[in-house]
Amino acid sequence: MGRGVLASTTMTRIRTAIRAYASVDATPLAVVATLDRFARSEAPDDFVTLVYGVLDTAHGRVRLVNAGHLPPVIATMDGTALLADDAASVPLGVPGCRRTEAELHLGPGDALLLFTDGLVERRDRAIDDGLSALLEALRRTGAHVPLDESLQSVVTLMTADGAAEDDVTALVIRRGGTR
Amino acid sequence: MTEQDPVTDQDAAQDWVPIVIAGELDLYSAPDLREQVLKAVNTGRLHIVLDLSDATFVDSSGFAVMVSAYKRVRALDGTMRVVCADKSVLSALRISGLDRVFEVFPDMAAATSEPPSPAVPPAEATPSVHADGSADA
Repeated sequence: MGRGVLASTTMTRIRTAIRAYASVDATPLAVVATLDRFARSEAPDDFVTLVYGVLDTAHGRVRLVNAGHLPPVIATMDGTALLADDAASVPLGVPGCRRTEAELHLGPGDALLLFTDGLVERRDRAIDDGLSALLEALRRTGAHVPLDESLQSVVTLMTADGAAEDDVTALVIRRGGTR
Repeated sequence: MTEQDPVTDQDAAQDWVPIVIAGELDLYSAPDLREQVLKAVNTGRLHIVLDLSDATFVDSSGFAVMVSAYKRVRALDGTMRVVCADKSVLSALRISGLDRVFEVFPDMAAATSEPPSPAVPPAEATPSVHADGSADA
């Protein structure tokens, strides 16, 4: 979305719109379709990407739509980490592309990580290599450390090169219990 | 246009306008691209080829200007194509879903091998949900 006062104003408006639309119909395709209309009329020159998902805590299911954002990552209890990139579509308000909804399943102990480009984007490295580095950092950190330590460790590993220029936001959730 | 044709403003308006972006397209260089696009559009030249052949990095500010340019020329029945062969930039386009929006060509010759034709007008902005559960952006 960019940086600065204008970008943060847009983000605030979009976030308010999400909350309002989700209170009417929270399903991902419905919310993002309405946001597309909102972005076209209210923020036509802004570039907004997002992942919107609904978590079913009882069954560990997440339904989500990805509008041009970096793919979420699933880190499983047994130490694998993979990109959830099968619902990729265009940034908000960009016409001419079909949106689809993905359904992810989190087993007991599995974690889902959402993040901004500052975590993986570097001028001297392809974004695919940044994503590979992130998966590796998650595997090295493992699923058995407390969640706050785990997230801190991943962010530290990813920014240790000191080359990060952008701000970094990362959100992780982990399903409780063991298999 | 062939060499025999007199070059008139009308002809120029019907031809591709190349805009070259070299190096890094980011927060600092994106305004320059915006200027170049506006200049072309304001002089009635609505068929733009963004040449990213020598671009090494594009961040979200760069994509923002590209999307904005695309929307602008589409609204005026123009077209926009992108030339890019850099693996990193192509990956970034794919991850942001923009490889499905822009027509991307490996080189300038491929992008301009045919004269521009008026774009198909974008679908009306009322998103519809399809039988398979997907919806138009």
